[in-house]
Amino acid sequence: MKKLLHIFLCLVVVLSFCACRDDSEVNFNTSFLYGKWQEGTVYERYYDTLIERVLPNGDTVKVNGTTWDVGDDVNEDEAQLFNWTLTGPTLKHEHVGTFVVIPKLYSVDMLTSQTLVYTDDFGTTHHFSKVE
Amino acid sequence: MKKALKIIGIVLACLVGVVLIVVGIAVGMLTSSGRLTKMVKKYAPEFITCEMSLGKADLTLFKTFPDVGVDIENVALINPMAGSPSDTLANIDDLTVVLDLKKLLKEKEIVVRKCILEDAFVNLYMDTLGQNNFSVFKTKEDSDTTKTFDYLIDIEEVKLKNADLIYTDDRNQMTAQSRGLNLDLKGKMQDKDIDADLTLNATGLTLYMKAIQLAMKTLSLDFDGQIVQLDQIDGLLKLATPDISLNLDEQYLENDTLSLNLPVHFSLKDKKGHLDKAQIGLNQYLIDVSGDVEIAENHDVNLDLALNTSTLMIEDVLTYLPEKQLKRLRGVELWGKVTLSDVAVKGTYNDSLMPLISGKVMTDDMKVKVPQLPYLFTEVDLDGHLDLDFNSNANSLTVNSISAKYNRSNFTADGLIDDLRGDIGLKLKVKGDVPMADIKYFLPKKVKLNGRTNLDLTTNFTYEQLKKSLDDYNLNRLSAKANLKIRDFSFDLDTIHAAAPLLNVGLTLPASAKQKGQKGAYITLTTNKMDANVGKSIKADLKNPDIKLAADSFKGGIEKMLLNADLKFSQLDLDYDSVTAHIDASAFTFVTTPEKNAKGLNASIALDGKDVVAKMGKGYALNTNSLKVNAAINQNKTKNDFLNRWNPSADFVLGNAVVKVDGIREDIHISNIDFLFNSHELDFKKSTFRIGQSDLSLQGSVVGIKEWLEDHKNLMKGEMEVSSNMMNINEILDLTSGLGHSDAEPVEATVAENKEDDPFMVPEGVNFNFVLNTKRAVYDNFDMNDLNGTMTVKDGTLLLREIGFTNKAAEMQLTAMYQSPRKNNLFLAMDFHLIRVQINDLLTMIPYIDTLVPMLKTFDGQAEFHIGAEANLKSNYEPKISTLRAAADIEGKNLTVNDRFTFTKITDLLDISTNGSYRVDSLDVQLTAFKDEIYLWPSQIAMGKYKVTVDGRMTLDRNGEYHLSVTQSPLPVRLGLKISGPFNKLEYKLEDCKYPNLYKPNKRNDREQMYYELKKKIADRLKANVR
Repeated sequence: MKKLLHIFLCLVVVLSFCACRDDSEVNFNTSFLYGKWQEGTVYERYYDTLIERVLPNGDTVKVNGTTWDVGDDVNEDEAQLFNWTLTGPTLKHEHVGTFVVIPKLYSVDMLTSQTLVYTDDFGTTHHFSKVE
Repeated sequence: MKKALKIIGIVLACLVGVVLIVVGIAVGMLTSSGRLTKMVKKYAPEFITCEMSLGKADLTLFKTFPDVGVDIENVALINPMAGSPSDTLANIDDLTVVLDLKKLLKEKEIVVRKCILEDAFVNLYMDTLGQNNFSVFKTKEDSDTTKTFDYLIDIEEVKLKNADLIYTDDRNQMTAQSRGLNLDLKGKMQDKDIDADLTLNATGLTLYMKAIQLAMKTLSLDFDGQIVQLDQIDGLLKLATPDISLNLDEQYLENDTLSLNLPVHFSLKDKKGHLDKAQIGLNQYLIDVSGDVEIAENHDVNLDLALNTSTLMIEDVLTYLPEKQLKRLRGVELWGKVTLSDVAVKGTYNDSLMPLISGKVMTDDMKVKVPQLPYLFTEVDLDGHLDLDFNSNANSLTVNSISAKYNRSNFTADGLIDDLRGDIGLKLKVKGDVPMADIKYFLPKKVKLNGRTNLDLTTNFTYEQLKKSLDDYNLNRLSAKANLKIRDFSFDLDTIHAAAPLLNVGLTLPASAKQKGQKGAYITLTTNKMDANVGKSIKADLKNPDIKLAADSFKGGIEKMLLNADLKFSQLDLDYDSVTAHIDASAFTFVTTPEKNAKGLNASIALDGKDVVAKMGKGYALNTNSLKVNAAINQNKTKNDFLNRWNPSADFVLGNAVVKVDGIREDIHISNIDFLFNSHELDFKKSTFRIGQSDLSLQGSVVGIKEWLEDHKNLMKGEMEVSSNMMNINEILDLTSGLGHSDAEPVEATVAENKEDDPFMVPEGVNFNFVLNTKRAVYDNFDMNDLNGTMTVKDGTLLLREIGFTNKAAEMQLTAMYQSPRKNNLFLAMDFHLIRVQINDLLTMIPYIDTLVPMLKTFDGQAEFHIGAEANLKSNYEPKISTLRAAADIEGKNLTVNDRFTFTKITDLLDISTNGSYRVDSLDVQLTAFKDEIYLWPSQIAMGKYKVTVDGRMTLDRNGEYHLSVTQSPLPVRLGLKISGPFNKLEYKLEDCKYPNLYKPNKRNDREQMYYELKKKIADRLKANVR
């Protein structure tokens, strides 16, 4: 009986591993990401190339993303900067501040030409629609 | 007079000559006509030396009845002489001589009783040597003893009928001519005694003698008197002519009526005469003359005459003045009555001298028009004494009193008016009651005066000086003093207005007479109260002002005016735009420095004020015991903005002052400030002041102010050194909030901020560097010691650059940045490093840390803390959570645990043995805040033999989800623990270990590697700016 139980557990473990998706094998079309996305009052813009921006302290940085929340009375020309990479399903944002860098890691659930869905490590999911 | 007598003498001599001719004729009077004619011709040469021709001689009874006369026709005496207008001495158509027949017959003595010449032409000539053509009669002494008759001229009557007489005297350059002369001389002439009654009239008489030209038409002359021994003339001479013209270099009389009534007493021998109550009538006016006349050997005429006139109409008198004399009046016109009395004419008259004339002058209701003045002087009543010396400039009118009206002004005066024939001098003391409007003409057009004054004026200048000064407003020529008491005074010049109920004015001309080196007018102004405005914006109310000023060059308005004014007052209330000021007992100096090419007013201003209270709107108030200002303005009227228009510069020295600023709770207490301000620079030479808790000493300069104010395109730069024993940074920030921001908000602003919010707006277009050296500073709950560093305000950014300081909790370094692109989108960033910080103190100093890192309060001890944060802020400084970005790196060793209950619970759940020790050996965590989430990156905590990796997330609503993984333990089991829920109600749940190999380089998977690298990246970025 004990042996059967061990075999069952091993099978469960093996099957469990087999059931797991290999994230590295999931690839999204990055070009869908380029453009302006909206979730409520929050906007994100993904550029296909690096753009130059000047930080409040006068430093020039190259970034490929901006975000702003009009609900907080912030406009696109006042947007904050980030660099993003999409590796497999992992969407990494590195928000560039004057004195700090703030990384954020997400897992993309869906990326189409009109929809972007990603979830962070704590299960918070964001749904964006492309507006431009 | 001398010449007239001479002419008479010559005429008489001629008559004598003719009589001598008649004597000869009378010898043969008993003979027939032909014989009589022969006898006359025979005996005539015994009496006459010149060539002579005689016509027919006849006895006559008809002409001479009842006496017998000899009538001779065509008597001609020819005596040519070089220079004489004619070779004929006399040409008489008809000569009748009446003889004393009885004497002739009985005593062979010829006695001539009458002599009548009709239609005669007489040409008398004297050359330059005194030789004449009429000395042609032999005297008794000249006659030889062979003469047939003795003769005696005892003429009772001599008549000339229709005679033309010419007398030419080259020696005296005189020519006299009489036409249609009728003369009837009755009297007795015996030897040198003449008892004469002369009646003379002529159709014309002319006399030319050097500068004298006299012409009379229809002359009538009567003389009744005696000439004793051909010397003393006593009698009454009357002369009248309806048409007399007299030119003495200038035309004095022209077609005027002249009458003379002269009681004459004159000695021909002594050449002295006396007039007694003589009367000269000129047209309708009469002049009474008495006095003495003497003709000296050198032909000088010495006069000592007294004259009185009837009342004269001045306008008539002026017509008698020649053009040259009238010009001396310079266009002044006079009308009215004048009386000359007690006039004395004394002195010598000759070619080069004129007698002195003095006398009393009185006018009645005279009017005077001075060409330069807009109104007439009327009701001019003068009581004066005139002294005329035509030989010099000592011609004066002593004004005993004069009263006059000028428009609505009343004047009285006395004094002296001298140099009447030259530049008339006015040395007068004038008192007047004058409306200020009446002196408007004397002021520049831009000056307006109102009020009425009592005038007390002393003048000492000439008419020409006054006239020129009125033309060009250059008062330096004039010498005068005036005191005015002006009621209801008001003054306007350009935009300056001043008014006082009673103003005392003292005027001294020239100003140098009062203050050496000054020009123009020196004016003192005193009053109890004066209101003044400059334009519509500046209003001043002065009490007891005492103004002393020297002013010159009035013509071009205040810009061209040289003005040096000292103003003292007991109290000044000033209102300029939104600025009000109250100043007690102060002195104010205003000096203009006009330049030729200036485009406006150039002036320097000095103020020494005591007890100054000033307010600017509702926002600013100043109270000081001492304010000294030395300022200058250089106006450019072509510019509109304040700095370019006025180009001000000022040195302010302020002592013991208190400044209140609305919105700043604390007053600014100024111990002393000495700063220089001009359009380009603000130079704080010295300043120490206190703001609330802050004491500050400020030195340095600010440049580029004007350019910055003009268009904000150029930076206003400042380099300041700020040293302080104690500084409250919050109060300092309040001071400079809002500079340089336009009122217009960007159109992008979609959410209206709270209108009551007034966040600190960083000045734009400025570049200020404050070098800070503060022993102690407080910012919010921060307490800092030895604060050093630089604070920069540059073009919209406030930057605290690497401010180093210490406090009881740590050694700290802060770089902070604040921007205010718009009120509702402020920006704040900071880079804060605390070395060897006591965690408890840190949480006390910066309570917000507890929000970011709630777990931190679990520990106590020394740690190293690096935090970087930034966020956009609303207008009320509330962070916009969507923009919050922050990161922290905390490293600590040997920390004690405060929350023993939670600690024990966790360690128990994770099967961690602490052996009763509440200590953590090491702590190395990185946190990031993004929006409302604070993420604790997987970090390791070491406790003895245990190492725990913890990560998690919390939100600002104090909910959290954490995971702890035991990565090193003496036990074989590696447990994980999930802690989640609200902070006040956390749930604990065991779960799998999440990061078993994060701190094992060789065993990390890709995700752990990525986490590790990101952690390092976060930490490195935070520590990059540590000095």
